[in-house]
This record gives sequence, structure tokens and C-alpha cells, in this order.
Amino acid sequence: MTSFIPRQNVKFNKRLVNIEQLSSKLVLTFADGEVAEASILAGADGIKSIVREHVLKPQFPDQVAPVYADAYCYRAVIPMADAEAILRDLTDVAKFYFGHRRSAVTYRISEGKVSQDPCPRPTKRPRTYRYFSQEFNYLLCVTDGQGWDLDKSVTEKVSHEAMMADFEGPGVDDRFRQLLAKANPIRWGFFHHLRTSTYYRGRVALLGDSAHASLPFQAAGAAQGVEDALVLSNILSELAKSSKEEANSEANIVAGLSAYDSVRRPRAQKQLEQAAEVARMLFFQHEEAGDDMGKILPRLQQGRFDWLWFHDVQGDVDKALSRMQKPDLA
Amino acid sequence: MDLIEPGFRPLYEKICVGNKGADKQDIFFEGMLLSEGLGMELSFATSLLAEPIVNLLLQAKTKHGMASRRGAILISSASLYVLQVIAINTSIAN
Repeated sequence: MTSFIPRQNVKFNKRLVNIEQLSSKLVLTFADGEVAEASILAGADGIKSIVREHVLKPQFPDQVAPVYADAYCYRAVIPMADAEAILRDLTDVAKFYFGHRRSAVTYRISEGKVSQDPCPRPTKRPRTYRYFSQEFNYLLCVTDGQGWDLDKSVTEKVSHEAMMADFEGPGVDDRFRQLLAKANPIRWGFFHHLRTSTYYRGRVALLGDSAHASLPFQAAGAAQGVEDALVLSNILSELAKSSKEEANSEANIVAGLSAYDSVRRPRAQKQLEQAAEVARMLFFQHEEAGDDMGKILPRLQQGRFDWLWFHDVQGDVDKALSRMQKPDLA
Repeated sequence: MDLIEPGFRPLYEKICVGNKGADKQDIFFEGMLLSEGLGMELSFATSLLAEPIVNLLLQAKTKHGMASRRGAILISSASLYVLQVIAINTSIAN
């Protein structure tokens, strides 16, 4: 997908360290000393985001840091043959395994396709082929309520014995212990941005994980980032149609980013709240359903995902553009 | 993705991995238990799921067209495998 982005527009190995908002522009300072000026900053810099800090800290300082979701997981990708030796045809379809304090998520991630080298012809180089082996991905999840001690890292290396101890005892099918034994003993903490009161401040907007980092249990977090990109790119494109002076006007930019926020934030926040609810169901900790599968299952059906999967995203674009042009009616 | 750049989708489809089996592509995930036996011995799923599956298909057909059945969610114990196949590949004509 990066083939669609002009190479000269991308700079790697840059770390933004300061953002200054002036009435006519932004001044961005990078760790290597470079200073850049811009009209707008769109921060897609991940869950631990300096752009998020800039947007939220003045008014909502308690919303800047990622929130630990009282759970972590061990992750692994193994050859499909190894997975089938343990789970047989349970590897065919993506699965959630519900349990007390522990749960699992499994799915296939590669199909063993042979792919042609994308190098365009004519070339003297012989065409080459790459083989992607069949692979199986899984997360073995634990909730413990003990908090997360590490301030800087979202992972924690533990001993093999400590990892295995997490899935000891009754309530766990032995097949999961066999899977666990193949994982690296690294705990991946589950963090999210549960509360976010705005996705923009002045000339600066958030998108992707910096705006709405989510738990993975609806497999929908990345798609929300794509929706951000769609709406925001249309806003920016509309701004760019006006004269240079108008496009750089703080009032016009704020109207555009406010429209983006008003359309995207309710939907993205709802997604991450629902993903957190799925986590509570997976661990039998849901406030109403508890460990009653008879109450859990209906909550995951009956159109739960319709609003997410069958949404009119072009309608969102139209709504945002309309609100940008008539902010008083929003 | 199409709305951002029409060229994205073919590239995405090239690397996208679904479930195994053509008749399993519409399933988002199946739910089972972590405990010994994975819940296969339980019968809760059969009685609970029959109606929701029908509801889900009806919604898909009336609100969004047949294409929207992609991604339909099914939760089952192993005893429901037969139900899944029926639900996914059946369209209500009348």
C-alpha cells in the first residue's frame, strides 16, 4: 500500500519532540534538531502518542496516558501443521474461547500462497517467487487485576515457568497448555484509550491508535483508523481547494477538524467501548452476563456488529464536509 | 478502502486470510469454552442460537443485501456445525 505514497513525501527515523501552535502556523521540533512548519498536524503516532499529549494535556490531562485493561496475553504464530497437531480442525475457523480469568483467541493468518515478486518487467532479473507458509496465530489471555508495573513498556518478559503457571489448574483444556508452551514468555499488556474528550485542538488532529487505541476483541481497531483517514483526507482536500490564505486560516482549519471530530469520535469510541465489553465477556466478568453463556451469546449476536460493519462511511464524509461548511448548524 | 484509493482493495485481498473452506468465509468467529472439553459436551448453543441465526440472516437480506452476509457472526459449540452450514448458504426466497 505504500506504493501509493510518493517516496519523497516520507521521512523515516524522525521523532517529534515539541509542537507549538501559533496563530498562523505550527512549529514542529524533531529530536534530531530539525524544525518544520505546517498548517495542520495529523498525529497517527500510536497508542503512546506525543501528539495526543499535546491535544489533551491542557484540558484533559488524565486522558493522555493509555489505560491498562487489567489483562495481558501471550502471543505466538506457529506453522499450521503444528497447530493442527494440537487442535485438529478447530484451526479452520477463527475462535474465541471463553473462560474464568483466562481466555483464548485463535485464527489463521496465512494460507500458503505462492506470490510473484512484484518487480516490474522488463528486467534482466529472473522472475522470483516467494512462498508464504500456512501459519496460525493465537493469543492466550489472562486477567488478574494486579495492575501493570512497567511505566515505559507494554511488554514484560517473564520466566517460562511463570507463563505456564498462568494456565495451570482446572478450567483450562490441556490443548491450550500445549499451545502456550510454544509461545515466548512475554506478557503483552492490553491497553486502550477508554476516554477521549476530543480528537483535535487548534490545528492538530489525532487519528488511529493515538485517538482511539482499542482492545483487539472486535478485530475492528485498524478499520477505525482507516475510517479516520477517509474522513480527514476529505476534509483536508476540501480545505486545499480554497485559496492558500483561506486554507491556512485557523478558523477554517478548526471548523474542518471540529467536523472530523464530531463525526468520527462517537463511532470510534463506541467501537472501543464494545471491544472492552467483549473482553469482560471473554473473562466471564461481564456485569450482567457473568459466566452464564446463555446471557453472553445473545449479546454477541442479534445485530451487535451491524452498526460497525454495514455503516455508510460515504455518509460520514458528506456529513463532515457539510458540518465544516456550516459549523453553526452542527 | 475503495473510497480512499481504489487500488488498495486488490492489494488487501491478496494478503487477506479468511477461515478454511469456502463455506466458512462468512463466519467472524465461533465461540467455545476454554475449559476441559471446550464446551463440546454442552447443549446450550443449539437452543439459544436457532432463532438469532435466522434473525441475523433476515436482517442481512432486508437491510443490506446478500453481500452483507459476509462477516456474519456465529457462535457455536461443535454440535452447531451443521447449523452453520445451513445458515450461511441458505437464502430465503419466499
